[in-house]
Amino acid sequence: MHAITNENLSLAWNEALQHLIENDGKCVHLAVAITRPLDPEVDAVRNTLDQFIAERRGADGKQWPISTVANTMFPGAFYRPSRESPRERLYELHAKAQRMQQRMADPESYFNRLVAYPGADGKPFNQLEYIVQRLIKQRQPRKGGRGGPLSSAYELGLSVPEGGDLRVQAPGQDRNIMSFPCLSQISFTLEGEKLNLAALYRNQYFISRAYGNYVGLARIGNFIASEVGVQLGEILCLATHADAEFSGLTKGRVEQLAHSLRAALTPVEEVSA
Amino acid sequence: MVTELNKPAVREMIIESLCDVRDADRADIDTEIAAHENDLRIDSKEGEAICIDVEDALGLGELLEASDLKPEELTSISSLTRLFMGRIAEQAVTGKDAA
Repeated sequence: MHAITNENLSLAWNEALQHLIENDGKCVHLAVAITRPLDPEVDAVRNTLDQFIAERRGADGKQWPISTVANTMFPGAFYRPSRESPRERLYELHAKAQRMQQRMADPESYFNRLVAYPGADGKPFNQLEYIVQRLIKQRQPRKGGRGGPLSSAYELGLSVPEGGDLRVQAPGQDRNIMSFPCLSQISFTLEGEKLNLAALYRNQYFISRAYGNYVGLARIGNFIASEVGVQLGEILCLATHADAEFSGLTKGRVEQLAHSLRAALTPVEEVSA
Repeated sequence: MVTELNKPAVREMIIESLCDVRDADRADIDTEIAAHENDLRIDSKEGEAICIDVEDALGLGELLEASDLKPEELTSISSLTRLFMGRIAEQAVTGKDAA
């Protein structure tokens, strides 16, 4: 197990990648905590990674830009808190875009699982809306004026999504252990006026997915926090197995990326000294 | 279904849909387009929603295919226009062949 804590999303990802490379590209139980997930990203990190991905984007199209990976988790362009009925508009626009996604060989996305989880009765279940409604209700004073909101009421069981978590993995439907979804579950903990988010990945590819995953998780957290009327606190991402993708990209190339990232983050005065 | 499937008409549909997706005034979008050399970068998800709107407006069925849905193809007004014009031209040829 290895734990990393950093205020900044870009720097947290970079630190985790550097750790992976120092440990032969793999890690069991890699926990990355981002304490200020909505702070601006570090352009040097994001641009270096996006350029690396773009140079390797082959005909199979399996290497996606960071923005595409983030969009599979939460289509940020569809959520504008200042517009009228922002949640309804988000769901409506996603449903439209999903009609296009249905033409793909594998039309499922993480976000679709969050707003249209395949329920046991065959009907889609909107977990995001359920969580928002539940949190809004839980924040209201309890009967008799006793106590405040329940901080851990959103940490419920694993078997059904109608609890307090957002569930991605669908038992009986997701049978291929090598494919979607790598993200199993997202949990929320309310701490005063802060909403903290924890995500569990059974496997996380650190070059082609992790950075976009972090951006997507920050968007999910920001959406729920905004709609509930609280601040987004910390994001914790636990990868039960983290992979720096030496086998697919080669160890040399990944090490070159890590070197480029270190160089990009080195202050100019250090380089010139 | 529109009768005049020329490039300006398709581009107009794309811009109108973009205004709707963003809940933005047409004048604001036009100003942005003018400021970016007559084009505008858009998010790939916005691009997907716009494609559905334009297909519905054209009334030609599902013009776009899975191979068209690469993120980089959906991220500007000009790339979307090019994509649609290509598919419309293909369908016109196919339609003539069938006839």
